[in-house]
Amino acid sequence: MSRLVSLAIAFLALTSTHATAQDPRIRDRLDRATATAVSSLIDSATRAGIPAEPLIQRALQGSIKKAPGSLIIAAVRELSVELGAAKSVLGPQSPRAELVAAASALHAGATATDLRTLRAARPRQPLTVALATLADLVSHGVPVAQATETIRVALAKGANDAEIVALRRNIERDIKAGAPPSAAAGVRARGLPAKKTGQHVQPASKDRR
Amino acid sequence: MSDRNEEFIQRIAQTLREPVTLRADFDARVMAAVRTEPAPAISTARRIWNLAATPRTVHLSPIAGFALAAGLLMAVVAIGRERNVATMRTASLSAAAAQIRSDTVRLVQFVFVSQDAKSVSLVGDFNDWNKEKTPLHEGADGLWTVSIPLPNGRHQYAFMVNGERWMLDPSAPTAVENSYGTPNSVVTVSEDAL
Repeated sequence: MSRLVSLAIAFLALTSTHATAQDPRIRDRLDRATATAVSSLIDSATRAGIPAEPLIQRALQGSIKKAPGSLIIAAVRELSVELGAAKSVLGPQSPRAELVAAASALHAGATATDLRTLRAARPRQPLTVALATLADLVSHGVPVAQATETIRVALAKGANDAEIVALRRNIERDIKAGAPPSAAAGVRARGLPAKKTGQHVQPASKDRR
Repeated sequence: MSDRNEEFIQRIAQTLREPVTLRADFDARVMAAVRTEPAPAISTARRIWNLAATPRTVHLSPIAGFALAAGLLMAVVAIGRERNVATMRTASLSAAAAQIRSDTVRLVQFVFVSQDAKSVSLVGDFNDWNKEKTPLHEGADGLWTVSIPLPNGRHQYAFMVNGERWMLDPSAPTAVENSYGTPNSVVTVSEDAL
């Protein structure tokens, strides 16, 4: 009987190990200590409802860039925090792509309040493209407050994803032609036509940065 | 190379970078065409072997693992008591373990221009940042291209030239995230925009 109990305990241990097993991509491409730490972060994130795949990809990106383990761990932790913040604002039903874009927007300097404002401007459709565009505008030198306001105005005017992408391309073109990034974003946002008759776009709130 | 040739190549590259749109029913039409093809003859033994030999990833929570272990323990005890020859029972995998993902994907073309590259590959958060997975194909005049299906979302990527040189896509935005000191390019894929 004791043999049976030992067998059961061994099987239980094996099964439990499998339940928290490292992703093979992490195990194969990171050193053991980094893989263990990253896997622990991913387990914690997953328990909080945060998708694991973006975290795995952030770690693998560190691997191909030959980053030290401490930097990889810090990068995964940072993204986990940003995804968690995005999820708390956008809600548990927010799809992974939207969370990733929201994490990028937060990383670019947008605040949780900004995300709520944009969600309110488009409550029933994904914000993936809008939030990704916000981050892209910041990377082109548009101040984050102006980038957020540009996206907010576009959403308030009923712009769809294709129009938001076109807006970004126009702003990029203006910047390449020598326009100051902030001015380019402001002018292009104002130039978007409002789709709904009589729609009034509220000006930016005074407490913006 | 003359400026005129350079301009010509850039124009071709610009055209090639235009997104290719797949209709929403693309998958359904391809699968319908596949289904009309006669199935290859596979013996029953071969089919069973394939079923048994194909690796599957089964995610178990600790409580499910405990339940499975407890079930096995009960089975072992029962077998021990009855001293019978065990009958192999095959547990079928749940449908959830073999679910087919149905994310919306779009075919996205990546273009890199290099006259002197020996190889160019695409790395990004869609291929595990693995330089072996997505090589670009060399065309005329140093145009390297590849088209891959990408799910909706914001994707970071870069080109790896000659297996080691990290190059951004000059036609794409640069990611604001730069955790490792080397920037990436970004492409955002959505149902009605690229």
